[in-house]
Amino acid sequence: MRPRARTDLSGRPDQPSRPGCAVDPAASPVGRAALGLTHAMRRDRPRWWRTTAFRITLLHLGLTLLGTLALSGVAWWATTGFALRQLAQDVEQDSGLLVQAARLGGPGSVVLSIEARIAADRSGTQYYLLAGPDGRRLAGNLAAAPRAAGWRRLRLSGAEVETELLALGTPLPGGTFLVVGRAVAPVRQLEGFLLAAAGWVGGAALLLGLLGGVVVGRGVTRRAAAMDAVLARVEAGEIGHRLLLREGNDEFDRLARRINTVLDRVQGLMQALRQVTDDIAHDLRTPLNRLRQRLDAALRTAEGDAAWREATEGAIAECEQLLDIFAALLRIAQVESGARRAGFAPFNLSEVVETVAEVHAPPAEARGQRLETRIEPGIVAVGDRDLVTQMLSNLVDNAVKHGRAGGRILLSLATRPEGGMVLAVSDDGPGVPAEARPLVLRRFHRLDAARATPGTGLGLALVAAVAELHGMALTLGDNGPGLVVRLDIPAVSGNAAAAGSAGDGPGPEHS
Amino acid sequence: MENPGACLHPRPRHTNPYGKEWSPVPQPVGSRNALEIWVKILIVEDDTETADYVVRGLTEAGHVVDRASDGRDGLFLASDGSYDVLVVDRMLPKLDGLGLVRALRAAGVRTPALFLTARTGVGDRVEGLEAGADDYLGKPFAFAELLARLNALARRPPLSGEPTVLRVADLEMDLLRRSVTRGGQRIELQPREFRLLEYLMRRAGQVVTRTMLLEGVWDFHFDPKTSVVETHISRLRAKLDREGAPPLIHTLRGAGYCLRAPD
Repeated sequence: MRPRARTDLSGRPDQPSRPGCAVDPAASPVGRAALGLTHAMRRDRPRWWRTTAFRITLLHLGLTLLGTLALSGVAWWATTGFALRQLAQDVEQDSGLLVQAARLGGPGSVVLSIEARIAADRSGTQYYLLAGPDGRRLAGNLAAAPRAAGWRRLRLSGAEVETELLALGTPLPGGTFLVVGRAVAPVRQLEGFLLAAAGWVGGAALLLGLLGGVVVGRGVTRRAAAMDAVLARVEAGEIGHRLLLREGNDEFDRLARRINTVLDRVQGLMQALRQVTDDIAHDLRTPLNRLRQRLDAALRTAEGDAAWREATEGAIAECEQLLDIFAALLRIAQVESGARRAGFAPFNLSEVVETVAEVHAPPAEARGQRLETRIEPGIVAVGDRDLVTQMLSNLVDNAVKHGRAGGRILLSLATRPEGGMVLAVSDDGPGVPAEARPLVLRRFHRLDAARATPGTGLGLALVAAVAELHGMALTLGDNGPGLVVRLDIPAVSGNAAAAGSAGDGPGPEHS
Repeated sequence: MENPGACLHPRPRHTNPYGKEWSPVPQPVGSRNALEIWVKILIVEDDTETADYVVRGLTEAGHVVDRASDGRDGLFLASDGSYDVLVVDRMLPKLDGLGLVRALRAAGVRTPALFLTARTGVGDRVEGLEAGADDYLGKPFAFAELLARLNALARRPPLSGEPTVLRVADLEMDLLRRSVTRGGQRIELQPREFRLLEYLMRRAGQVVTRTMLLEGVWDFHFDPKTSVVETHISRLRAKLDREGAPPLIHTLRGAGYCLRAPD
């Protein structure tokens, strides 16, 4: 209504008051959709004059034309200049001969010479005037000429045409005055011819260039359109589509190969993400269901403060477990993104291992296990102390939970003679079958045998992520019986700062 | 009978909201430490529900609480240094928590600050402490944990004049000679037990949560879900307790531990 009010004030109340006709197409959802559609169509259909190839051709063409123009300009000046000089030379020579004739034979012979020349001139470009001391014409085909020595340009106004002359005036002995002239028309003709030729050549170059531009542009456009079509399908969800690769190795082929590689990577990441999302959806549903059942049961059966309190406490505990799972997932994702490498610093690894062993001693004791340590003191590693602590804690926790009750757990840390360190956690429990070893490092993966024990199935996934972040090689092996988890830690160069920054670069974990 | 809330500062007869003895009605202030009965706290938190929860709990615990809902108001209120402790969310409108604490520290305001935040990712804690905060607590949190940490922050002794000998009742710890005696009798402690006792003695009379101990004594910034704290506390108790003498280390169910002289 706002624009209409303004029209009303302007004294044309009838025009906009018809409903429906004053609607701005962009204001209605339908109109907007229609606009968007046409816009998309316009954008999607490639026009050959919008292609980069065509624009580049045009630019190239423009520059070529400019060069041609400059060149023909120079040629033009040079040619016509030469013709004019020739003309002047001719006039000078002729004039010289006539002056000679005047000296030798007097004005009479000049008159004869002039008449002979005029008679012999078929082209009609030679002009002469011999004027007496009183200015009267003695001979020649010029009516009159200024009596001044030297070069000058003369214009003859004929019946239809105006003739331009290049004339040389020379005073002769005896008071007579000689003017010899030549028509400049041939030079002008030459100029005109040159100009026309330049025009033709330029036009041809322009036409050919345009044609070439169109051809090249269309070729490039076709290839780009083919790539665009495939990528559009990928965008629409058909992630498996790939660009057709040709034999060649031009920039388009290289680009196509690169795009295919990127698509492969994207597809891989998407699959991994989907796997994780599925896992999360599945594994979070279980505790959420438990929580719901608990609350449901409390709602139906709980009587009295104590029962309600118990139900609430149970629900809180259930929530905490859920939050723990979320925290662990988030942490794994964060570690996997590698964002933490900037915070690497040297720390006493021996001390960390010792502390982890101490922290896990009570549960081991509760299961009647001996938690032994064989730790070389004073070993310094570079990394994220908190993450390494948590990684070790997860490993020992795993060994305590899944090791044999009453068994032995060994935590060892030693430097290798060839450099670097090796850290191992071993138990004498049932171990992990060789074929299942890669699987247990995945999120939420739990061996069937382990399902009865409490846990989120995320502990070893975090271990794998932290190991990868630190460039440690993680191997699960057979302890005969039991599981041995071995971490090979790369050597730390003496300079901690250098080692820290080396962690940012492509470390051994990428090779 | 032992009063499990006795250590909770500032209202001795209170315990935390999860404890059975929790009472929202203010109780008469105990005779001990009459000058420190309450502390003035500023909460900078944009989530109304969390802010309400914290304000209610702290008010019921007898503290004076002000609140600000964005970083700029928080900075304005805190800049005169009139608060004893600040509770700051990290993600705040207008000025984020890190910026707030940095600005305060740059302006020379030394009020202890605790980050209470859902940002508990790798490195976030370090970043928070580097910005000038004194403690970092991730959401979700147990109220008892927040209360204990705030009390510890508000009553933190000044850095100057570090004592070389800590004393609680007849228990004495010589920090230079690394020796502990009770009633003049020497007690042999393992290094970890010594660190644990030192941590407790420095916060004598205050509630110390399990998480605080894991962080302060073991340098563990996550919960390994083992009974290591409980085991060490009971081992320490066994070493400290003597026939006929009152116990010094008290367990507060649902809250933590407290080392204090017998009443």
